[in-house]
Amino acid sequence: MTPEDLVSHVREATGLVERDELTPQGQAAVWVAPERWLEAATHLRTCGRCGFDFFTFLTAVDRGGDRGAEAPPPRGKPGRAQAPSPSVDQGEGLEVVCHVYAVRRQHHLNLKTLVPREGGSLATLSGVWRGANWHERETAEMFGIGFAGHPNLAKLELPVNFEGFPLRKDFLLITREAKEWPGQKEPEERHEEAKS
Amino acid sequence: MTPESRTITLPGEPGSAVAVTVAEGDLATREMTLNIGPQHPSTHGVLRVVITLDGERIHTAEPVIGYMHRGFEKLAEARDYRQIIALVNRHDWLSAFCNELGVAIAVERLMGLEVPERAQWIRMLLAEWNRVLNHLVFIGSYGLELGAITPVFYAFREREDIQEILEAATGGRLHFTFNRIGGLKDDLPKGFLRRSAELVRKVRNRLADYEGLLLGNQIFRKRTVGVGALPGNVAKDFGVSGPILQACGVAEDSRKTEPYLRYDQVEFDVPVGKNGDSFDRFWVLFRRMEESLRIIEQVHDRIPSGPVMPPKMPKTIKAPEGWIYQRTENPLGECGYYLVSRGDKTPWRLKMRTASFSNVSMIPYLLPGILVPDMIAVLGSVFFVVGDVDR
Amino acid sequence: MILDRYFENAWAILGLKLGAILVLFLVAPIVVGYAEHKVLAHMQARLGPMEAGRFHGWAQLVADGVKFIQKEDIVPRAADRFVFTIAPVLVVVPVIMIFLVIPFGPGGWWGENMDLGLFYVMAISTVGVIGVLAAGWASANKFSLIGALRAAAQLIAYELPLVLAAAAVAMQAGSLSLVGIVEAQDHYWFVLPQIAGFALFVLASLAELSRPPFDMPVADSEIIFGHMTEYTGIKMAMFLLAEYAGVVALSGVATVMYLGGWHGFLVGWIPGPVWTFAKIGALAFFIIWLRATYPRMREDQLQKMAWKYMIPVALANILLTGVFKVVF
Repeated sequence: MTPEDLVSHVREATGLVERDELTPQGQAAVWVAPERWLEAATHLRTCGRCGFDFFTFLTAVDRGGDRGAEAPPPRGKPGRAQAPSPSVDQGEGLEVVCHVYAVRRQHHLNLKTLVPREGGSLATLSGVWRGANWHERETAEMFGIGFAGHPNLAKLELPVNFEGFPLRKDFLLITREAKEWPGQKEPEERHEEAKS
Repeated sequence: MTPESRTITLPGEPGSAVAVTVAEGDLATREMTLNIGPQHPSTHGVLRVVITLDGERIHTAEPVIGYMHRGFEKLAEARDYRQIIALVNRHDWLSAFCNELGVAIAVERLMGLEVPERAQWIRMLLAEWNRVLNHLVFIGSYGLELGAITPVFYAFREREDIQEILEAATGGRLHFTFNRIGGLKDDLPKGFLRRSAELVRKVRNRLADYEGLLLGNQIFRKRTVGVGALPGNVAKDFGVSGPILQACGVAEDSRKTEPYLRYDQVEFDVPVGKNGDSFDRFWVLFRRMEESLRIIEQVHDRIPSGPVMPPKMPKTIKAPEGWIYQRTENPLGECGYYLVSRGDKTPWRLKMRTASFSNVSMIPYLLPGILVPDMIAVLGSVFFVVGDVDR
Repeated sequence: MILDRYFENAWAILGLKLGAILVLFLVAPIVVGYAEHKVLAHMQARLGPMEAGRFHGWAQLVADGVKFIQKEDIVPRAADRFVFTIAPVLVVVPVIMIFLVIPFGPGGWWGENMDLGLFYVMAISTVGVIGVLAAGWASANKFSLIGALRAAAQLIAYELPLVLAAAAVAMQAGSLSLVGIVEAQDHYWFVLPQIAGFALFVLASLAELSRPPFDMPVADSEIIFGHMTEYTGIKMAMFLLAEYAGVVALSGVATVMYLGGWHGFLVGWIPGPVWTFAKIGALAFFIIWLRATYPRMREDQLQKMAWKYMIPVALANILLTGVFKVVF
């Protein structure tokens, strides 16, 4: 199926798709409401026309916004702070992406949803694709998203006593707080700085 | 409790004493918890597997990862795209070139850059040599894990030869950092293709020897055939890819299904196994190396001349707003980069979907019920690099 | 007897013999160990030791020995100190005791000619396993324990074929004395009629020595180093010494039982002991060669092989030997 057909099929068959994305590179994503997350995923897995049997990855993207008062102000030049540009910013919070692939039909789909930064939670997909187990553990420790019904949501890669959620934007790299990364700048930029 | 059974409290560490009920005449036993790793000769670094044993039979197995977590995804958010190329070739240090490739292609596609034809073919050539380089390590080390100490030395002899020519081209031994967004750092050095062609012949001859030494060996077969069989649908469920998935009989290879570079213009087969056991996984490695050599030979014949970088490149590389998922068939499986850009010099988010992570996550499924020696045979054949698991 | 010609006192003779055997016990493992380094290296496309002693690293194992002596002697806190210390001795001593009865040449080139020599060798060679068990248990290490239990399980597998193969030789020779067995091979070596027995004996010896392909008790890629995991320094060296001395000892016994001991062929002027050592060397080379070639078997596969194939073959071999003895 072409990405367009796929998206329209998912839209019709489930009625859960809130909006969809088609990139110029021909990659498709469908957005669902967080409370319908499991339902949508189950359809992708079980529907014969979708046939998504290969679990590729699950992760989250911090969309910024709501940085919280305790987060230090962004350092360095403007532009480096990576303030979210309004055009992409469909909403604030954490965007969860689940990418699946159908081996026989050879098509991909990104299933996306948006959860709030504080107390965001989704139903686990580890019962749908077993591979989701570790990916959800990783996403939970890195972004602080809960996965209800997950068999074991312990820390995966981080030490047990680690505090904070490293892949959120308000978590700054410690070394960068002390000293700016020199490689951030283009050679000519540094040159300009030296002149000024 | 039946009259013939009794309850016994087995001593243990403080707080871990357990009461067990056993039939009269039986001995009271308890499972033993054994830590394999993080420092263990056959975990290729610092993977740790906590297993519970009944005698030598494994009841449960739980991999513990993260000893080598270096936060690449976070670091990538503070690096520009040139630097990211040097960063990503480190997570799977055995397939550095293929790792770089994924990021380079992702950014190029997002930017809509045309990569010169010659660069595409050179990338393919080096990526395939990198694949052979990678598989040779696993062929050597797998023998070592099963107690055959000789193949590893032979494999590293060939690796040395391959590394020499890669070093001649890129200047690096492990971390090539040869890709640039848009093309390659340099053209190939003079005489490279001739050397490469000679090496293909040499490696091909030697591969036959290793195959006889390992695949033809009776004890090797006894240790691997039927050990750790993985059904294809379970493999897909876990997102297992690469040689392990192919050994399960699933002919999934993104070089075939979604050709990048010029893989659609060369001929090669995707080898598939039958049973998905350790032997098949290992057998697939050999076949994949042969296919790689075939591709390399075709590249030799068909590589066009021309520049290796586009004529007009922006001084600073900024990927336009948007997202893309680019996967490449790395030696160990599907390596993908999910790149979210907000139009900056640095990515907003770069998710590394590494092959080893998904492959290792399947281990708790594969290990229970088998013996400790078989665990080594299984772990060794779930080809992984710990840096690729932990990132 | 050679020594009788020069010495009157029986004690002096005994002392000299014991001294000679002790020297042999210390030197032979070093030679075999060095040979293993070099043979393996050349089979694996590398050079092996090249520095110690200038000429092709001949002094490598001497240097290793010095290093082992200098190392700190660590006893784990949870270990059973006494058993932990005594275990290496338990492993080493039986091997020396095998050396005592091996005849290296005609006319007194042996420590002691026992009437029950073969029986004695079979009995004493199993004692080492007790040392291994003791080491594995006393180390308070799970890997050590698994290794020790594997060694004990392995004993059950190889001991019966080993003894049955030896029994056939004793029948054929009509003697249990090792000297008597060699003398019985005056006309032909027992390897010819006992070819099956020879194969069984070598296989079982490999299992007894924990040498590849039967090195499951020390399988380094599975259980680190089995019962030796926690040992350091001189105690570790004793285990290694016992391993290589064991290679020499069992090669010696196999030479005596099957390869005609000091009997040579074709060239008559080469003295008997040279023949014996040459044959021991050839067998040791074969054992090293196997290490370069084969992966490791699994414990249960060895059990299966021993009980399903080796023991029936050994019994059939005894039967055939009996028939052979009666008919001819």
